Amino acid sequence: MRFPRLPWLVIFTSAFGLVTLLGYLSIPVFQQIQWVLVQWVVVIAAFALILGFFNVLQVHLERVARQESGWFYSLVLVLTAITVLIFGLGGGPGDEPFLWFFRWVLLPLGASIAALLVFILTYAAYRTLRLRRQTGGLIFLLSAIVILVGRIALVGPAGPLATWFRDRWLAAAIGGMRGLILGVALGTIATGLRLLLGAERVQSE
Amino acid sequence: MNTYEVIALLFLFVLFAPLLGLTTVRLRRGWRPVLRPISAFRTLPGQVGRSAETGQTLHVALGSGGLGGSEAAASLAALSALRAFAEEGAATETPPLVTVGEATLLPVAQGVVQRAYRHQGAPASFKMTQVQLVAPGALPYAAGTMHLLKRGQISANVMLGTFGLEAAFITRGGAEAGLEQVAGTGRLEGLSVFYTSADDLLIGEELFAVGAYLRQRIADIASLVTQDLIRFLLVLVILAAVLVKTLLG
Repeated sequence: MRFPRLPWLVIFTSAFGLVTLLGYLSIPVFQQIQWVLVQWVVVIAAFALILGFFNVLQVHLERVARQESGWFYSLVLVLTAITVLIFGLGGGPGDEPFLWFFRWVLLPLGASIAALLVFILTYAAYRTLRLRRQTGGLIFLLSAIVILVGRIALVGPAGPLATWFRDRWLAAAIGGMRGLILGVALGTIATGLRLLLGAERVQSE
Repeated sequence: MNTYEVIALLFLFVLFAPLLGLTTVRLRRGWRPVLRPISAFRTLPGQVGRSAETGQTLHVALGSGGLGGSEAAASLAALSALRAFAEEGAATETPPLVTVGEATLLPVAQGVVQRAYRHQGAPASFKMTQVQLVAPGALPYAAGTMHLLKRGQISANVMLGTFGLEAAFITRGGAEAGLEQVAGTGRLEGLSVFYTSADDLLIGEELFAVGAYLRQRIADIASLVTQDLIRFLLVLVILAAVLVKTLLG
C-alpha cells in the first residue's frame, strides 16, 4: 500500500503554530506546550548563530584566499573571531578576558558607529531637500523645523505658540503613524494566518 | 494577554480566516482584482534582468528582523520577494547576493535560493556564500553591508524586511556607489530613513504585498484583498466609535 506524500514541514509548522497560539488563550496544557516550544526556538536560534559564525568565517576566508579588495580586514575579522571564541570556550562567557573584548572593543565600536548616525541622517536629509524638490520634501522640511523650534525654550509668547504648533503637528503625524501601524499589523496577521493554514511555505517547496 | 486582546484576536481570526477562504475561492474561479499601481513594484521586477545585462550582481538585504520575534512577518515578506529574485536569477545565471543581519534568517534564505536553483535544474550551481550573515546585530550589519556595497560589482540595492535608523548606513553606501535603491519596511524609523534616501519605497503594509505583485500567487492576492476589507471595516468601527464618543460624551 502506498501512502500519499504529505507536506510534513507544512503540517508541523501549522500544528506547532496553532498550539503556540492556543497557549495565549490561558489554557494550561497549551501554555505548557507553548513554553516548551519557545525553549526549542531559543535552542534552534543558538544553532542558527553557530551556522552564521561558520558562514562569516567562510565568506571572509574566501576573500583572504582570493586576495580581494579589503582582504586584510577580513583576515583581522577571522583572527579576532577565533581569538574571542577561544577565550569564550576556555573561560566561559562570564570570564574576565572574554568580557574585556565586550567592554573595551565591541561596546566602544558600537557606540562609535551609532554616533555616526547623526551625521549620516543629517546628510541624507540635506540630499533629499537638494535632489527632491517636491511636496513631500517641503513637508519634510517643514516638519523638521516645527519639531525642532517647538523643542527650543523660547522666551515670551513665542515659546507657548511654538509648543502649541508642535503639538498640533505631532497629533497629525501620530494619526498617520497609527494608520501605518494598523496596516502593518494587518499584514502581520495575514502572514501569520497564511503560515498557519499552510498557504505560506517558505520552509519547503 | 487580557480578555479584550483575546477577544480582538479571536475576532480577527474568525473574520480573517473565512474572508481569506472566500476570496481564495473567488480567485480560483477566475476573479482578478485590480491591484493599485505602486512605483516600487514597477522597478523591482526588472532588477535581476538588469544585473544580467550589466554582468553585475543584484544585492538583496533582508534586514535584521529574524524569524523568532514580532518582526518575523516582515522577514517572511522579504523572503517571498527573495524567492522571486532567486528564481529569475537562477534562470539567468545571475543570482542575487543576499545579506542578512540575523542568524535565524540565514538558513531559511539559503534554502530559498537553493530551491530556486533546484527548480531550474542546476542545484550544483548554488553556493552557500551567496547568502551572507554580515553580522548578528542591526548596527554592525548595516556597517558591514555599507562596506560591501562600496566594493563594486553590485547593480542595484534592494532592502526589504526589518530596518531601523541603521539603514542610513546602507543607503549611504548605495548612494556613494551610485546604485539604484528600492526599500521597504514596516518600521517607522526605517521608513523615515528610506524616505530620504531610497529611490523607490514600499511603505508599511505595501511590503506585505510583495508576494501578490511579484509572484501573482492566489494566496498572496487573497490575503491582500482580505487585509483591505478588514482595514475598511476597522476604519468604519473607529469612525463609529469617535461619533458615539463625540455625541454621547
